[in-house]
Amino acid sequence: MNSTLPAIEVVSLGVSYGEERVLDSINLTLATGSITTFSGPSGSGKSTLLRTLCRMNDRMPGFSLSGSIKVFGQDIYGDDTDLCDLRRRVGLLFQKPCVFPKSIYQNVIFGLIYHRPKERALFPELAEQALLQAGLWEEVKDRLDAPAVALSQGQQQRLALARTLALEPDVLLLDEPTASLDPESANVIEEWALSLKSCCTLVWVTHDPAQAERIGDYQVMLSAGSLA
Amino acid sequence: MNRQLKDRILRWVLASSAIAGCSLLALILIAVIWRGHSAINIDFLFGAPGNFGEGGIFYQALGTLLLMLGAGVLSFPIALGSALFQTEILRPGKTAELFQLLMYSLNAVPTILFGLIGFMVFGVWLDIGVSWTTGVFILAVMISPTVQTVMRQSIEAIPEHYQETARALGLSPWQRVRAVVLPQSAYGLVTGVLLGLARAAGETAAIMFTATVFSGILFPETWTEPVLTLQTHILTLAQEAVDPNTVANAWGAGLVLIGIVFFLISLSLVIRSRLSLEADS
Ligand SMILES: Nc1ncnc2c1ncn2[C@@H]1O[C@H](COP(=O)(O)OP(=O)(O)OP(=O)(O)O)[C@@H](O)[C@H]1O
Ligand SMILES: [Mg+2]
Repeated sequence: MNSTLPAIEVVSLGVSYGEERVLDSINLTLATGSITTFSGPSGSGKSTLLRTLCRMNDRMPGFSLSGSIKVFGQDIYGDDTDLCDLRRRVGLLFQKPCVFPKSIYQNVIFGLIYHRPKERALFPELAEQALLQAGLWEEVKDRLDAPAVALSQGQQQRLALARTLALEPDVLLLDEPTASLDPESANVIEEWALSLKSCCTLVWVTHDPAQAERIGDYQVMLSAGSLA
Repeated sequence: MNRQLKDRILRWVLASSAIAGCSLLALILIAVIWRGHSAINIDFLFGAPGNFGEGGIFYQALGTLLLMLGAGVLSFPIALGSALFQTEILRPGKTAELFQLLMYSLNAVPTILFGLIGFMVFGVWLDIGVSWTTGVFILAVMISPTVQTVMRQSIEAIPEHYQETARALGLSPWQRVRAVVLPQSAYGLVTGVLLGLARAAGETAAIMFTATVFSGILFPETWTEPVLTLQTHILTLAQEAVDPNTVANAWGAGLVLIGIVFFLISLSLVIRSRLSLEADS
């Protein structure tokens, strides 16, 4: 990717659900290879903004949008956007971890199967890399075939992370990734995030000001749908 | 009347209607076994039919299975396709509700009408006459709404966050169907078809004058030949038989028909446990 371009450029973005204005006149530039934190009170629109960055809100009833969002210079709400490719490049991790009722390994390669169907021979290696990056490899390397739903909440969160990382996204959107983790696992993820800056642009939603201070190159405060 | 008394009366009403339903089923089962068991033996089960109502019912059972399987195989893609159309393309909304209304109405159409229309199209217009393929088509169309409804319900029961996660991983709608919808609703899809088959197994009116005959053939060898079925066999014997042995044979055939239905249900349970095992691995 062209590193002189900002990873994401948001220009006077407004989002409404029906009559309800959820986001208003948002202007943001996320530099490539940076970590930006979003904070703000509950209901201020952090998740909505995150989802809008990878067009995950399109299907929501009453959703409408104004302004523009560019990912590496390309307007993602333009007509010629390939949604599948966009979502591979801009990965989103949900507030609540969701693993499929399959094995750990099957979960990690869940997206790979469809994005790189011809490279199946590489999957074991890619899966290991992704699990290593997510800090889960040591815990699961002996039981990759075990059901993923038996993992703890924190492990499931990191498995979901590995699943997204396996697709080698350019931008990673994390919605409170450590909210359900113990401090130690949270530390693992924080360190991982700092180490990843070279290849990935990160957005991290957090309620914890100290965490935002620790990891954020840029801190963005949202309140009632606007930048504060 | 105080609240407690009302409550108790309601409970009794509900319980007695449940008991009535169950005992009706038990009664039918007992009656069929009671009157049919004397007819059951190897010759009866695996023999070719003899004179009016005598001999075995092997070919009748085979014919019933043929129609059921044909209808199941044909209705599966139709029902699955329209269930996916409704859940993945229409999505919840006015059009989907209208579509559902259509399905429910189709489900409520008297089966004799399906028979009549099938007869018009295949028997008269295409001039195929009475043939088992006509029966398969009619039964497939007849059970499709049932199958579709069960399939749609099981697809809609898939937790939304599975779909969301797959979408966030960049899977296209069709890939999500393969990766999430089909595996997560597999049991419901199988149940849908089996419920449809159970309906087809009992259906007599729609195929009576379009696909089946009482005698004159053993098993169809071409696409356009008719077929013997247990349903037609039972119906004809019940209407015309006087000899006690022949009447017992009709009950025996009924017992075999019920046996086929129960076999299907057990099969669905086996498939269900297989699938849930696979989903976990
Ligand atoms: N699908 C939707 N339809 C209608 N309104 C919605 C929808 N999703 C979110 N909202 C509204 O948008 C506002 C912002 O919600 P959002 O989930 O983005 O907040 P948040 O900042 O992520 O909160 P939290 O910290 O609790 O996760 C809320 O008022 C919410 O009610
Ligand atoms: Mg949120």
